[in-house]
Amino acid sequence: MKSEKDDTFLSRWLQNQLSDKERKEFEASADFAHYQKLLKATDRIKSPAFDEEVTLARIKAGRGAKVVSMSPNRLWTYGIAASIVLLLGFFLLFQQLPGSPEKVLTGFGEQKTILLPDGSEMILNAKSQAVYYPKRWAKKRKLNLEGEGFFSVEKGATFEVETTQGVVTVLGTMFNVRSINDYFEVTCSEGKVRVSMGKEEYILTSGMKFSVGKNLKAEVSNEAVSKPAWLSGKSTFTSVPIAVILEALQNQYNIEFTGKIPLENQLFTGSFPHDNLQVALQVVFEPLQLRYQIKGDRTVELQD
Amino acid sequence: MGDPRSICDEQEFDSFFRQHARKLKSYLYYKYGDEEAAEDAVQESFVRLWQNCAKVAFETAKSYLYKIAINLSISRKRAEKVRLDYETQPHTEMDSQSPEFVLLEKEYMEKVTNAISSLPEKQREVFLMNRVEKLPYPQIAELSGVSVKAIEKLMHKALLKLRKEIGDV
Repeated sequence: MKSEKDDTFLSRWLQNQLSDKERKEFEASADFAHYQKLLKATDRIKSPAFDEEVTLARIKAGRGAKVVSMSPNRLWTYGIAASIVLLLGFFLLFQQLPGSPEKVLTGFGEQKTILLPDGSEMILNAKSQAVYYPKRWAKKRKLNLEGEGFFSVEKGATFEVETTQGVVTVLGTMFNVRSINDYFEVTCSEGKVRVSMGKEEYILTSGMKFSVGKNLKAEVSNEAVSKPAWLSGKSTFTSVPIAVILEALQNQYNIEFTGKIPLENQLFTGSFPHDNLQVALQVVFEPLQLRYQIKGDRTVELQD
Repeated sequence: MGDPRSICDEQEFDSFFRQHARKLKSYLYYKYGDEEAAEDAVQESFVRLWQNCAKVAFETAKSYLYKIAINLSISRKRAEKVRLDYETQPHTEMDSQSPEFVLLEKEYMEKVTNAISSLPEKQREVFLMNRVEKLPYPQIAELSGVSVKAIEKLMHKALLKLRKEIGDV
């Protein structure tokens, strides 16, 4: 074959730089189809996943630290010291008040990374809400969550996540809280967390998951994940009621399910992607042998 | 006349990050084969770029960034092979694909991705930057510090080798 003598032949073919004669000869050769198939296959290779926003937030967190560590110009030192004494009085006064709450909301299919005042990180999944008091944060690390969030907590005082079902308490760790309708799930990826529901308490260490739901007894099981899948563009569920999956699909894709909600007591294990509704519906409903139809833009009808 | 563009400007920095971070990560991953290390190096090199923003001219920021990231990566021990993910064939009409066809497709894709990961480092890097990241040869040449001709030769070699590895399927 010609390409063995000419050491840039295939490269020029890719660039459409072959002469007509060369190209015709190549296209007639047996190899041509193989190379074409190969290129078609390589077109399907995805570039490695990369969460820009999370990385950018981390870089900025690092930057903040740098500013603090800079030594002030000596001439300024006394002035600054004096101002600090004055400011401290006001600061202490205001710290007593909770200040105004900060509310973070995510829309359908949206995720947000929030850097909390102490450098802890919260990533909110779609259709979720978190409320906290930035001014009071130094004294009390506590926030209220509806929906799903992943937390990477800086070491320090107790960190609390309140949900309608229970409270999650930690000391420096990484964990995921999923609070969807009646379903409540906490997965601990690093460190130790405590889940309190009324009088009951559960301690989770790294790789453990706590879950409870409408028809599900409270249970602690193993789940070895370092980070929840929704941070890399898909949602993963292990033994979760169907209603929770439907809610998660609605939140991700801004769709609505109509028709009879089936198999209320059945559990689902699997995952769906965030970027393709067709595929998402297929991977959820096919294993359950449910029929469905996409009606119009935003409605999916479940069929018997 | 305004001030020259500066990487110390937060907005410039952010847009510079969004423009380059993803490609840089892919580049380091294809080159050194350790995804986590690649992400760390991306993060660290942007932090350093920020710290030194006053000393780096906007026009040279990109090569500064790559230089740092490569330096950070070189010292690490070379990791295993690159693992490549691919899109599953979009099937709109589901029944038109028999299970055998899907399986054959999958086998072929596995073969292709394996063959690419086992390419020699330089060939792998160039091939993936061009085919997956869609970077034209002159830009790859600039990143790797070699001539466009050298990139053409590497691409040619990579294709020959892949063809041989994959065989007649």
